[in-house]
Amino acid sequence: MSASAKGTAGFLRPEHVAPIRSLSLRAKLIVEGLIAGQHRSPYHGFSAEFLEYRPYRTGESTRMIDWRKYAKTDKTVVRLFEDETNLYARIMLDKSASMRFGSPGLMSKFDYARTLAASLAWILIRQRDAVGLTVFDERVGESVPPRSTNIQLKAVLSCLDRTEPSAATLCGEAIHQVARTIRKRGLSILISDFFDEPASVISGLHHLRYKQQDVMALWVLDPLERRFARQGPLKVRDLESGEEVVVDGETAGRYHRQGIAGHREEIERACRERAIDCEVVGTDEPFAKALLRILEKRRRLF
Amino acid sequence: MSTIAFFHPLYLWALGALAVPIVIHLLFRRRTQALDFSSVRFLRSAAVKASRRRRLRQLLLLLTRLALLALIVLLFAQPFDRSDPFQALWSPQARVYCWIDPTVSMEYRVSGTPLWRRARAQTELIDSTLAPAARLLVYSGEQAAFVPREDIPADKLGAPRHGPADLDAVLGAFRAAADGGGRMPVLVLLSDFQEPAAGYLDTLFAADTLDSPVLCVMLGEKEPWNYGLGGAVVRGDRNAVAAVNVRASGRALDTSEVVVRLGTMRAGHGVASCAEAETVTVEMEVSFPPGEPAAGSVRLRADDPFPADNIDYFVGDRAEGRPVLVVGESEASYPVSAALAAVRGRRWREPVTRRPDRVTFGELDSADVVVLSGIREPTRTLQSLLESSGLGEKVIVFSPSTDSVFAGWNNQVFAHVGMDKAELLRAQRPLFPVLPDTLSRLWRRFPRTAERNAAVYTYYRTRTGSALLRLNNGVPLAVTLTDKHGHVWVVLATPLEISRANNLCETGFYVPFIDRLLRYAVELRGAAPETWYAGVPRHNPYYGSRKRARILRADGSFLAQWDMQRTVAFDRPGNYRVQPVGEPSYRVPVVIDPAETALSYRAPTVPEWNRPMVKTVDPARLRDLLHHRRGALALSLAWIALGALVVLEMALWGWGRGEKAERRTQNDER
Repeated sequence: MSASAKGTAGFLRPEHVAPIRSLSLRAKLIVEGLIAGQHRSPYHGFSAEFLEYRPYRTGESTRMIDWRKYAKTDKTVVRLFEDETNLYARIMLDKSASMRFGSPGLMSKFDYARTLAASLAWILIRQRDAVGLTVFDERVGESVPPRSTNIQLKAVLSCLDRTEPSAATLCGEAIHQVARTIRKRGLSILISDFFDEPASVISGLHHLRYKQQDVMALWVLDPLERRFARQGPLKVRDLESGEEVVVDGETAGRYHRQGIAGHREEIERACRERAIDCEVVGTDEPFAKALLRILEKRRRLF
Repeated sequence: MSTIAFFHPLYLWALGALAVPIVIHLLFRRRTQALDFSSVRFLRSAAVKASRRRRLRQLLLLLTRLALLALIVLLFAQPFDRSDPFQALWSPQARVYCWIDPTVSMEYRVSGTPLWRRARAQTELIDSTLAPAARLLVYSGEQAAFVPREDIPADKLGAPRHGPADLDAVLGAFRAAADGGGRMPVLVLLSDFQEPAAGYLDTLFAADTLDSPVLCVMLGEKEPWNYGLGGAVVRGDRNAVAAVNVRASGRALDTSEVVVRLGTMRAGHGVASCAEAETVTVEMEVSFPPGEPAAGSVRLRADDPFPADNIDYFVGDRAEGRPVLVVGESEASYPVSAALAAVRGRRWREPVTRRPDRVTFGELDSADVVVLSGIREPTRTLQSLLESSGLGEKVIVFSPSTDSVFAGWNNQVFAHVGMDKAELLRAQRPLFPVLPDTLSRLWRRFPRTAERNAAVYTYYRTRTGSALLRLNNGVPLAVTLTDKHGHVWVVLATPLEISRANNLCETGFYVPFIDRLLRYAVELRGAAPETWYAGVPRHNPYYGSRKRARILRADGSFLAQWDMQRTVAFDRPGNYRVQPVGEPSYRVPVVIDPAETALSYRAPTVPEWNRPMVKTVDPARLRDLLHHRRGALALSLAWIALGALVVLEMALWGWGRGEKAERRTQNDER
């Protein structure tokens, strides 16, 4: 990433975005920040019928500049085409109670995840991809079918705004339910903390692959969940079940790190075997990182 | 009530420091934090194990530190068992007051060492085991107080002397010294515990609950043995016979020589042997030079542990005279005194005459014969003759007055001697005494002509007692009887004073009559002349008489003067000469007090309530007591426990650091 991109990426850090309550605004800022840091636009469209000219924006790829127009008018303009997309992207967001967790000073996993989802939706819809949204916990919740219209973004953002994490996680079962509704090939972006039985999750992911979906799993974890560095005696309460355990910080960290490492190993291995991209995203990491990975995949696939 | 006390209780304030580790523990105790977490699935295994282990370790560490601090404080405070008052011997505040029995019986030798030297060695032993700040004091008879051991000359420390042990003074000095406060006094009595010391302590222990512990160290041998002499007498003049009683106790006496000496000159010898617990009388012919009665010594040549009683002293024909006290109004007592003074020979010392309100108990006690004549009202002192009040056995001659004024005293005496029905009678015709068989020892060579001149007009008729002489109507003129206190009473039927009841004072009957009555009564009592015992004080026979006497040793050197002292004593056995001013001198043999030769040892009797405060030990047991302090084992265990706690503290601390290092390593690996 270039220096300017790095500097721009700094503005995409969660702590900078978190104060912005409006999800729409957050997503816009993130996306524009991302664009500002890139040499080329994340938007990627196919050749299609000429639609209109629009002024060239700094940072965009110069490939779309109409040089003839420039020669004639001395104005730098870009040709817009009516893209015909063949990408159906489905964003699946985990809204279980465990997603409510967030370390002090950081965004909760759910907030981070839905900001990520909103940003994704913004980008994909702007480039005329069809984007849908499904939220789930122990079962599938609200769902917005994939569309590529401008109104779709509003619907997705609105759905994200309304959603609040609750209930337990049955990630695998929910994925199966979504998979059963898929009719077309496309991209499924799964944003979750995957605190479910590995076998169930893997089974769901496998189902998606079976439905000709290119799957991208964004594993959202809080830094505490990744490292669990706490001292002293702790009374830990499970956000989903309410179960309480009293542990010693150091020992609990050791056990948790061992457990999560094993859990990750199992799911990541299964993803590798099924050509599923699995990215672990920390809630303390810049949004650009995750977004770029997704957009890169989008570019490779289509 | 707790039996644990502390030698240094002020150190207990340091127990407040126990709050420090508790406060540190509470302040740095990690409180359980509440944490809402996404999932506890990976934490369940760590739930109980580690937190329990950590809490256990922290609790153990806290308890170890508390125990460590408390043990250190307690060791400085030096706990001891209050129920054992002898724990005071190990206190730095101990004050040990030692009394070494000064009586001559302490010269008894055990394995060649006199008991008083063993006692001295015990004081050195005690001193060597005391705490540095504790002090040992020894009783000094000269100062009548407890003084530091080094203040008594080494040659005088414990050296015995003749005379009784003045335990009253010793205990008084102890109480005065022990009342200083803030100290832990212990009284140590080093003695062979013969009578009367043992008896005195019996009374002391039974009288009051003791405030301070008393340690009785019995120095006497368990099975003492001894040979001794006593009762040396000489009968005869120039070719006389000396007799002495030789006794053996604990062992038989093999044939041993008995030697009689006059000064440095050997005057006779004999041989004695007797079985164990037997006393034999050895008679030896001795030759004395002419002149005054001889005075000398008899010595038994035998080796025994206690040679002090192997010599006895005698004076031939003791010319001391019997002390006589005449009590009565002047006109009543004068005739009796004059009569006794007129008796030829020196059988009676010049009588001491006192009015009833002027006589003292000491004068009553020191007289062999007491004549009561013309007493109207008895005084408290005279009442002691009728009551048991510590007087030695006396001969009491009672001359009742026929004057009715004297009736009260007369009746008291009559009632005391059992003559309740004594009738006062007036003879129609004068009565005269009838002498019995004058061949009898009492009346041998009594002047017969005197009896016919004597006339009795008024008399008491008594029906009690043994009649010594009767009137011609058969009524006893004088009777003798012994009362319940052992006094021999000679009760007259008519007064001995100048009286209208008779004319006895005016006749030649009077003087020999009184002499014979007193002699018979004295013989009846069977008492020998009182013996002077070395160191034992007696009433000064010249006290209050305005007379004085010089006391000379056997070699003629001046020893002392008796004049105004109430009591006098001789410091050591021997022959002494008493030179009263204006009177012939006489010799006095002073012998060892037989109480010191009895060699009968016994531990004092301690009643139940005083048993915790009195301990009776022998030297071996004393050494054990001093060297094996009760609770020393516990003290040693306490030090071992201290060491163990230090090791435990370090182990627990190391355990915690090991766990931290392990966690750090694991964190680094991750």
